[in-house]
Amino acid sequence: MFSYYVQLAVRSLGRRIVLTTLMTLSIGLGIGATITTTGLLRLLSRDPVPENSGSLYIPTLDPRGFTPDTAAGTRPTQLTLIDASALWAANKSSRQVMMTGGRVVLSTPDAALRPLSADARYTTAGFFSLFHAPLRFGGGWGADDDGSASRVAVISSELNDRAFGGENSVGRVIHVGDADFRIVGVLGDWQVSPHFYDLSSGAYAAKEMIFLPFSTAQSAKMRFQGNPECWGSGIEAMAQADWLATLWGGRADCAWIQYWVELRDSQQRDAYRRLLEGYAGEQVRSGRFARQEPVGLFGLMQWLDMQKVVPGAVRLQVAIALSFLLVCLVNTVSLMLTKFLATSQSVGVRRALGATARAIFAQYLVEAAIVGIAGGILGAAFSVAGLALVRLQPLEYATQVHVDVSLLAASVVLSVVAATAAGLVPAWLVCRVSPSRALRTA
Amino acid sequence: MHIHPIISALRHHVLTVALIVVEVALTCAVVSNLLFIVIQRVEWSSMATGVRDESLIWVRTNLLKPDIDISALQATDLQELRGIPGVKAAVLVNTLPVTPVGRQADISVDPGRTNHGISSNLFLGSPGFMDAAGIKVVEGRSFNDGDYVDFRGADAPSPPTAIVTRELADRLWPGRSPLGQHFYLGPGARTPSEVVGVVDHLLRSNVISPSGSGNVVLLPATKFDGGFYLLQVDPSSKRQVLRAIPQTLDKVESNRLIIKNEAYSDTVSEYFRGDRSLAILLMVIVLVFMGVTAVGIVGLSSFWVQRRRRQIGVRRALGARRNDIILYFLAENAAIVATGAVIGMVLAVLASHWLMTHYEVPRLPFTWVVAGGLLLLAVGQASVIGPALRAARVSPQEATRG
Repeated sequence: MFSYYVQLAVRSLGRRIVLTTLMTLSIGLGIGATITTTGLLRLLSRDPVPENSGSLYIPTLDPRGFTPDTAAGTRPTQLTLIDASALWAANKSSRQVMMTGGRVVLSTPDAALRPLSADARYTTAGFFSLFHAPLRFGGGWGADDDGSASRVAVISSELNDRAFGGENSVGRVIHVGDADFRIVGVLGDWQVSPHFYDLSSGAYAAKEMIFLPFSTAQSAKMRFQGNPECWGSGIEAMAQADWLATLWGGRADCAWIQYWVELRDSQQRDAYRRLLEGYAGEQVRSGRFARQEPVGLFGLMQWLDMQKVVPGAVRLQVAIALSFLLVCLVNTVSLMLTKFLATSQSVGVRRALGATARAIFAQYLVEAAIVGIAGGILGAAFSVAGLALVRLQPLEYATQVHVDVSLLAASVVLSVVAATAAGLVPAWLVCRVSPSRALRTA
Repeated sequence: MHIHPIISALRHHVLTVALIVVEVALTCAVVSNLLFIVIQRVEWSSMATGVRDESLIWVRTNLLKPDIDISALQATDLQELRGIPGVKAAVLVNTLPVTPVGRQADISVDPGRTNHGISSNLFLGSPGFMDAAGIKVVEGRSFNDGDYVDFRGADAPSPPTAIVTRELADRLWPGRSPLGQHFYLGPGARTPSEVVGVVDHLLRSNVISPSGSGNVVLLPATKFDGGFYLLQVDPSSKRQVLRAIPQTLDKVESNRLIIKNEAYSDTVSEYFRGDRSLAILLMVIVLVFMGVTAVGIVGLSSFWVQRRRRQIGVRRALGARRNDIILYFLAENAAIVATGAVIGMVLAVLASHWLMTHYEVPRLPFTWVVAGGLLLLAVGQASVIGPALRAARVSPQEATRG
């Protein structure tokens, strides 16, 4: 019976080709817009460290005093160097990483690389394993390198291509400023977008070209680059000539360190929260913290959500696309009404020959579903084109836009559901056509 | 022609009428908001910079050796840059419209500085910079060679002469001629500067909103911090000059970073690229929205005509002219679409309110709400013309069928 309905539907759709095309186009456009925008939303809110994101936590503390610039409800998103170092020392059992951003001038001894100003990350050794950064050659440095402030570096694949022609450069030397650093590792293709481990300079900040030990940067007082959250005397310190010395000496009232800790279960999480609360309480008692503020401990995904990593415009586009889908569906309902009721005479004949109202209803729903399939395929094509257009846009996140098969499948499923829903009322109206009246008007 | 029978006839088609009303209302709400955003973006991205975009190149370098006499190096650099074929002028400036480099100051006319100054962009340049950039004085005079001094900051003694934009002059001295007026460059400025000329329009470096975007003070200066090179070139040889610049500078001093070496027209179009592409994208959405709605109206109107062939025939047989039939369908469509448009206008205001709270979009002016409604009405009338003409062709004989 079902295949008979399909046959009937195809024949009926073919007979009113203009209406059928309009219906398909209408559904296809609506689905295409919805899939493009929701696909983009899903892409931008995806997990940057799928292997480990459930165990990655960022602790926050609020060491500021009551000054006019400390608005209630905005807590620092970074830590001061003093607090970061104290937390580091207090918890040796978990894997953790403390880091900050910088900017360095890079060149090579053989002058293959013209002096280049590049973003750098000063971090402790655990960075690469904690964030599952893929390494093409070599590996990260060890904790002993952190201890001795070694001049070692991990470079990005882009820098490796530019400075060493893409060869294995492990063991070779790169100039950072005036100093020689030995390359121990070369990163592979790593999508760090959003720049999840440090959102202070924007969620879509540029990738770093070189990674250096935190302790080495600290002892050389290397140039800091980022968005420090300063208050009180920290604001004035920023304008001083000895700002870098103040900063690296831990004497600035500024939060500028990003800190991540791996906590594998709720037990560890609770223990760490207690540690944070204990530490904050101690600092209040000693007078370093002006007041007791709640401490924060946020999971990676929660943190990305809180820091509004997904651009507001993308959510707006989803809203526009959904209202467009609604308009398209209303449109499809009206077109189906036109099309189905135009055939009420043949329905009358079939009813008179013994077809039940239920059979007519089913048959028209099959017809609607077929329009849905066609619309879904068209919608998938539109969303491929739509995402290609997004990629051409001058947006920070454009490069990571790609089409995946699940999106295309979703567009067909959504389209069939939508078209069938749109067909319900027209099909119900047409199956209620009274046979005698329909035959009389024929 | 009476509207009442049309309305009462519609009571028998509640579903189809409701469909059109919903479709029109949604489209009206979305379209008026989007069109408003489009117009704003277009206005914003078509602002003129006030300099000759097409024949400028800007070059910024950063020395890696701190112990160099920068002024001497800049002089040599400029001399070498002027020697590149195709370069008409090379000067030192500290800013350009819509670039991320620039220095701001709060300009005040009050020596006691009791009131807040007006945030303005300080545009410093070495001799000949106005001609090179293509900035024309429309009132008063341009700078003489004697006007150029060393600039040590807004709080140090200020250059005695200055040129301001018309926009800034109107803010500082409303209704008065700015020529000969004095102002102070910052809260710490001890000496005033005198306005010797006015330029028509110049965009500042950090354009945040259209208001105040033209507040610029031009100052004649030979030495200043943060200077970079501005080259006036023959537009046809721009690419060759861009290629020749790194070698030319390396000959003078190679131990430096070349941070910027770019055609200024590229800088400007890059700056507005996001706004332009957003405007185009939204315009496409608006057109598709209206297209889909028009198709829906055409579909339902045709359906109506189809179902009412007999009634139309009866009316024709009873003496209605073709025009009466056409007018009937136009009026019916106007009544339905107007209902949808009114609901849509309410929705548009609600949507605008939601946009304002979530996305920093200005309030949708009421004229735009009305314009959106009228636009939909026009689309509705245009869509119904085809079906109405078809209805008018129904012959009176149809009345006798069935």
